[in-house]
Amino acid sequence: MIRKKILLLGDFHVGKTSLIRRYVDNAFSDDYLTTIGVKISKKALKVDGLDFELLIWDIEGATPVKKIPTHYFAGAAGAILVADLTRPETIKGLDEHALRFHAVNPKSVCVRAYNKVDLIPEESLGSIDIPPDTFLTSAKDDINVSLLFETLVRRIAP
Amino acid sequence: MKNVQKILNAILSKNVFEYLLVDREYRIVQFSAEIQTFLGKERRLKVGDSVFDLLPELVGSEEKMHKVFDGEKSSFAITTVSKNDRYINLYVDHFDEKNLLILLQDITEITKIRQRALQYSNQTTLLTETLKKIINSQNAMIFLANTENRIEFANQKFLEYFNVDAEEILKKDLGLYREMGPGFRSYEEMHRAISEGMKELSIGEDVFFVEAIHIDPANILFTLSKMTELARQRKELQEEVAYDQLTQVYRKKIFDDKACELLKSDRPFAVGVVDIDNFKQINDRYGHLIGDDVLRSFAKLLRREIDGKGEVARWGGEEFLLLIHTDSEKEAVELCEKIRRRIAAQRFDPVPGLTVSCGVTMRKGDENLESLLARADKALYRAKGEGKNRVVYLPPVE
Amino acid sequence: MIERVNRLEFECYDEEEIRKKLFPLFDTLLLASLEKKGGRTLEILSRSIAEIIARKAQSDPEELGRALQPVISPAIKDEIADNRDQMIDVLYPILGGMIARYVTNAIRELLETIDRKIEERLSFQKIKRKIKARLSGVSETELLLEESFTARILSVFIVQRESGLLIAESNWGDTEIDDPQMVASMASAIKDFINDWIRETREVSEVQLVSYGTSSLYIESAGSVYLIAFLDREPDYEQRERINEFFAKLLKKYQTFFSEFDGDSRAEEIKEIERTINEFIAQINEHVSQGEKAGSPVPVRLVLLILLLLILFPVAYLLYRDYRVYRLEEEIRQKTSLEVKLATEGDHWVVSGTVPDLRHYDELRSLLSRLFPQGYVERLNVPLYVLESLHGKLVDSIRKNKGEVSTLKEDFRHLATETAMDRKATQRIRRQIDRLQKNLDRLRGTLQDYQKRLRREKAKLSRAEKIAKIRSIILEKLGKTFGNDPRYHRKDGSFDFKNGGLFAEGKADPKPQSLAKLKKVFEKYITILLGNPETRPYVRSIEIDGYTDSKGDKETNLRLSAARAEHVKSYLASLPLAKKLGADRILISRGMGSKDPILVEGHEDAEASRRIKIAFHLDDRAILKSLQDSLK
Repeated sequence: MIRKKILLLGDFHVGKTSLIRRYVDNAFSDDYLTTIGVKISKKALKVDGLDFELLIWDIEGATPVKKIPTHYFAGAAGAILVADLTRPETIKGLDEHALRFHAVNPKSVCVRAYNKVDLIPEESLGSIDIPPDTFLTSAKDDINVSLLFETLVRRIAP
Repeated sequence: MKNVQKILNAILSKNVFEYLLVDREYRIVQFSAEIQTFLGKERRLKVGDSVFDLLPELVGSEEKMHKVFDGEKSSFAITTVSKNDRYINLYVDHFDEKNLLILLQDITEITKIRQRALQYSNQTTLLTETLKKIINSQNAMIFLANTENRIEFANQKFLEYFNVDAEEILKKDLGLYREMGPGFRSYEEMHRAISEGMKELSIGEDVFFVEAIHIDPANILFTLSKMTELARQRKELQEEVAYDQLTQVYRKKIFDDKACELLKSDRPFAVGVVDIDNFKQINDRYGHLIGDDVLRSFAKLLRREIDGKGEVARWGGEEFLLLIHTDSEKEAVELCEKIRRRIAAQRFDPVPGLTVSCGVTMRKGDENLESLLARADKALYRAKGEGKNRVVYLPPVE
Repeated sequence: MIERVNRLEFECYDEEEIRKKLFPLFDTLLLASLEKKGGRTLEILSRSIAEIIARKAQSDPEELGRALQPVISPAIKDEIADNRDQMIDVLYPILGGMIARYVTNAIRELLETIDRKIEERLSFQKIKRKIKARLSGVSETELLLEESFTARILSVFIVQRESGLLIAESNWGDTEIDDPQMVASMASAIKDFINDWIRETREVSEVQLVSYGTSSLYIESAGSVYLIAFLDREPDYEQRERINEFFAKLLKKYQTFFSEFDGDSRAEEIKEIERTINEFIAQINEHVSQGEKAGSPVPVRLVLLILLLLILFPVAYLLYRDYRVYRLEEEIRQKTSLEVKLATEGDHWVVSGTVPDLRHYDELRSLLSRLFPQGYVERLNVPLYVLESLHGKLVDSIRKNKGEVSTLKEDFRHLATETAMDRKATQRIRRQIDRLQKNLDRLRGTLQDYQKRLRREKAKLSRAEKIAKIRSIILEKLGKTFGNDPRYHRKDGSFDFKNGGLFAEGKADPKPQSLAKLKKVFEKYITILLGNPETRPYVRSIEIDGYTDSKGDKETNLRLSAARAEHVKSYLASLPLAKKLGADRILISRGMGSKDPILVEGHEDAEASRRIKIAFHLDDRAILKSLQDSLK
């Protein structure tokens, strides 16, 4: 079994905890509860015949004045950068998260989740630019969530 | 004394922290009993377990732990880790060549308070962001000014229109109120003008509909919407709605607005109240349809007679109001007398011998609409009392 | 070690009886005083929160949060466009009070305070000390006692920042400092040095506290002066706050005096200030009785001297080294107008930088050989043409030398055979020939060196060029193969498999009959990408994006498109060629919903819209790395 540490990064209230809950427990709740510090969830999965145990770090989101402390980043094999489609500024913020993360883990990989696709009207989907390795997700309606995690693991896998 | 010290030691070691000792294979060598509280009930900890099973938080920190073992690094910490509904700080420290010391410090209480505060602060931030987005997307200029003439908040439109930046307006009094409308001395004064009925405001070439409201004692919210072509059309539409459907003269409210406007200025004018004599009997005898017809013809005559000299409005029922632009009471009385004679002379089939009574008065220098109308009504009452079909004038000063 | 611990615990339990009797007493006395600090934090905290909230709503934060919840949740969730005006009506009163801004800031500050307090109060060091003491059996009562006391101020100095002049000084009790002026200037020098040092190493915070042994130096600066307090142990957060508060008061009152102080120690104000400080010290030290004196503090002056030495020694060494490098670089810059970097590796110098042309290169080399007669390592970036022209020059000079040598040799043979020469002359000429021969050999060596270097550089460049152009190389190849296919996008090398009749409406699995075409395209695609060892290492992933037509709702479409992509992906991954080329491991699938539908004359072609797109992505990091490697 291969143990890998992965992180979810993004601004506050973009849905990091919800994505993890959906993926790990297959559950969703509308309540907004700010995560503080870090909470680790475990998930076992098989990718390309290999057994993985993911240690998924749910870290408190960045706010306009407070960045995520980098000591949480150490030793992570990959990260999911999460943005909220209804808040364009959170998408813009992803590059900075990626930069900070790669500075600590130069060999790690990232995938991106544009979350809360359930909240935006279908017409506006066309105008959204979706870069490579980016998934439109909804923790609420379970859209592309396991694909997101599996793609990351696949990219991490040797 | 020695015993006391030992007792102190025992007391001291209570609940301040929990600890683990770990060997070079990252197996647990020793642990304090209460550590179980962080684990939940389903897992029982025992010597020889891998520390990574107990603390997956340390996966990825193997390199650092190795350095601590070798003394290259003295210690490191992972703070605010949530485990089993508790919050802990993890400290990894050098103990001796064979063992690492891992301290678990319970910080649940203080962290929960932090979380509550953070949650509240995040929610307010979200709310502010959303509000800003909404307010910035508005076509109108919206800004919040305080009584010290600082603009606390202004939306995108406002900043663009005045070509200022958000920082600037917060820092100093830019005196923008001087550029608005006739030029005010403060936002407070502008607010006063608006609450006294000012609806439009010009800035340079542009005209705005303006609204203002004190949202708390120190802050006034202003909304300026630019009067576009569409808005002008809407205004014209409103004018149409201003007419009484049956008689096609102004409704009373429009008369009030116009009279009030004049009262605010010092222009002289007269007000007449015209009432059809014995109209109730007409309705009773010929029915409402005929009555309406009579009202229509009557209003038409009034409109023709007053054309260019003032305004006509229906007060309700068979009572009509005249607003006559004149500075002479004689002229006003003569116009009313002319109307009275015309009606008496005209035939309103099938109603024979229709007459009207009329009360006239001039405005005073400083009076409100109520007193003006009351005086005209009093004059009408006298005309009725003196036998109808006549004009009575009451001078402003009695 | 563990044995010792167990024994200790055993002994503790041995005293169970006594413990039971004494426990309540000590519990209330000591434990309470120990925990008082933490308790107070909580109390202060809850008071502050209540205060903040009470300003706007007369309830606790939870309740306020609950009260706001019905407003906040829809506000965030509902789309703005729908009911803008209505929302403004609802939300404006809240914004109106600007509570959002003020409360948020207030809470942030509060959070920071809490963080600080956690750090200060529940300091890891303290706990560590306790556990170590416990496990090793060393008396910790002393530690406990020490920690429950606050620090005592021994002296306070006010020092002018610019001049380092001591303005005022005040000592407590029998503490004496023999040369206060000197101590003051030393202390401010230390702070400046440390702060410069920190700025160099890019840490953010200013140094405020310097500890050595049981003595501590607390330095606060504001306006034109420093306040320096000497204490007998580290002051805790509250004490620092009290000192800061006092300092602020002092500053407010004497600001002008401080900034205009010219060294005249007879000024009336000085006495006043010293009196004030005395009162303050007395007030702080009030609760600390003589008996609790924690050992005798190391004399202040000694502390300062040791600190100064500790700090200055590495600084001075590094400064000296840096200075030398700086001077040399400056000299090179002035003489050659080149910006080069010097560094030391082991015991030799390394020169790196870029040289624009031959003239500069010659100048620089002659200068360097003068500056570093023992030799140096050259890591200069030299344009290829410079190398080429140097090479040409060498070839020329070798040719010339060669000619000279052979003429000489010929002459010599003539002379030797035809004329009778004396030995001396023969030897002289022979020496001359030998010298020339040696020179020639040396030049040949250099030539070989240059030729090697040239070859290396050229190979490097062509390798780098290939790597840098990897994308256009791939696009060119793909273009050659798919060039005329309207489904192929020349710009990004993606293949939009529209009109493939892949999917029936609402179905996620592709129609078997349509797969043959897809297979053909895909096999060509991956052969180009992965069949060539030059491009293969740089292909990071091949993305299969699934699409739906725009019928149906968004959620269903997103799911359906993901399922389509997944189906196609597993089919493609199962192809023998894909396995052979390793494509199966880099395939990624995504669901894009009904994004970018296919329009024909303004109407959607639903069948065409139900499709997949194939795109490749290169590994930028791998490209960058091999670029760097190839240029090394």
